[in-house]
Amino acid sequence: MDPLHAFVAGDDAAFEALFREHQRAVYGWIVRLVRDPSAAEDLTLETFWRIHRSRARFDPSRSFGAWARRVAVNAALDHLKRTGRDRARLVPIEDAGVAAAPEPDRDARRSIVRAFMNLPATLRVTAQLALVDERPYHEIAALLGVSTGAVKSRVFRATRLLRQELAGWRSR
Amino acid sequence: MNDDEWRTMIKNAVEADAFPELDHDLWPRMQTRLAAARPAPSAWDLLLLAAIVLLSIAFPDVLFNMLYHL
Repeated sequence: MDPLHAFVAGDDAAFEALFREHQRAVYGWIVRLVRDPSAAEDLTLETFWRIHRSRARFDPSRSFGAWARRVAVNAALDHLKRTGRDRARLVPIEDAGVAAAPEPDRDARRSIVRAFMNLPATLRVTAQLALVDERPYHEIAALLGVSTGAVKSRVFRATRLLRQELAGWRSR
Repeated sequence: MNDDEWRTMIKNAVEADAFPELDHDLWPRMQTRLAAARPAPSAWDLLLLAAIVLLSIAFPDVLFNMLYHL
């Protein structure tokens, strides 16, 4: 029996193999969305927990990675909705590019990141996937379980909110 | 600044943050979570099991009668 069929049938060893193979990718997707390594670890576990619980519904002829990504994005979105806007919080991370940049550039970038993190959760996740990761709209729609039109609308609203938020900074 | 320039500026600013890769295995934590979710038998389950065992020992005929009626 191939690993995906074994996983669907409830084989713990198959689940462990899938976990070990995909945990880093899942963590990578989530940490870019929530921008918090500690929360991303917890959400990686939450993602695999959801995958484990609903394994009977998985179609082994389809891509496990695509399914895991959909579950991961939704787990991250739920987390961002639950924790609310992460106002004015910049996660202290290695950021050689910014540290090396001149002071005004660094301030500008911080303002943009802060404004981005202040977006409502659904707009923030959609904007991350569309504007930063540059995923096609139809793929984002499939990930979030919404229409392509809804994705376009969210990207438009996110861009407009960011413009409004940053208008003050730009006029300085 | 037009829309495309805005988008480029946002992308450059947001993606400049480099998040460290996962440098350890999360499987032990996953195992703990899976184990915690498995239902443990309650005290009532154990009590009922003990009662059945005792009844079977004390009155073995009852057991055969029950099996016959199943």
